[in-house]
Amino acid sequence: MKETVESVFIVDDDEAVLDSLRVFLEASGFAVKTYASPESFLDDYHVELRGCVLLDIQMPTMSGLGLQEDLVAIGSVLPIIFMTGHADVPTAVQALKAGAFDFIQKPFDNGRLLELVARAFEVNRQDRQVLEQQQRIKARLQTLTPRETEVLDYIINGKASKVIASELNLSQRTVEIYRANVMQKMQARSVAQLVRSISEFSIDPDVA
Amino acid sequence: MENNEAQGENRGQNSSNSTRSAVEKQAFEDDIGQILHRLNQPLTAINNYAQAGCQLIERGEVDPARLQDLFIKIFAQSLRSFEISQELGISVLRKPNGQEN
Repeated sequence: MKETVESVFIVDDDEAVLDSLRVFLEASGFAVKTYASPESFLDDYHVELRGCVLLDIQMPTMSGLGLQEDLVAIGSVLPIIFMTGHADVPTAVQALKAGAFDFIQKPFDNGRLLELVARAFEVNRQDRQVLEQQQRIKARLQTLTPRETEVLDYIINGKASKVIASELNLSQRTVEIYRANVMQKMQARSVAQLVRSISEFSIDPDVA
Repeated sequence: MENNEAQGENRGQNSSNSTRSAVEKQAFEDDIGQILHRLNQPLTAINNYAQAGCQLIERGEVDPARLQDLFIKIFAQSLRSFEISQELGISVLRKPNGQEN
């Protein structure tokens, strides 16, 4: 069973910074896990991790930006807060452009750090909800037969059963049966709900 | 003719001196930047340990052993800062010639 406690994952190569941040955040009521290198965090990473990453921007073996790239590539939705020195601000701006949640300069304004972590947790909760809903819809789409998927395409393009029957060379009655199956498998109570659930999450039914 | 050549040589010499000076200046700034980056680490740690102590006191979790542990860590990091700041002082004294203070 993978650990899923909402936590702050701190990655910093400086042992004292790592330990002091752990002590401070734990004293402030957060669960914390510490990593002395980006590689060790990647080794421990799994999709169920919840919370946020507090990441040093300048590390010897792999930069914070490198880890950010890798996390994005593996589909992580963990918000990243970069820790920077004064001279790292241009790099931090680059990180923000690449989707970082925010950055904070060392030594910290600890009140601001707590605010950022709390906001990052909230964003992660919302992102995970969206992701979970997306996965549920994709899983439902995968239960459709090829013919049902074809009918679904017509439904979400606003075609009536009569038109679908004509285009697919089927009887209207057969199309109605396919339509009912689609609605049931997609757990949609109305066509509007069906269309919304698919379009809201930008899912292409043909590749789900 | 000779005068022109001498002037050309002087210009070349001045240009070479100016390039060397720019390289030295850049190396000096890089060194100082690195030391400041290193100095930032123990200062950050001291700040975090002290804030953690305040949090514990605010929450009424005043365990003397735990607070003592924080003070020992603050002490260790302040020594580390002191050593790095001494290094910074030595580097500043080695400032390349011709640089303004």
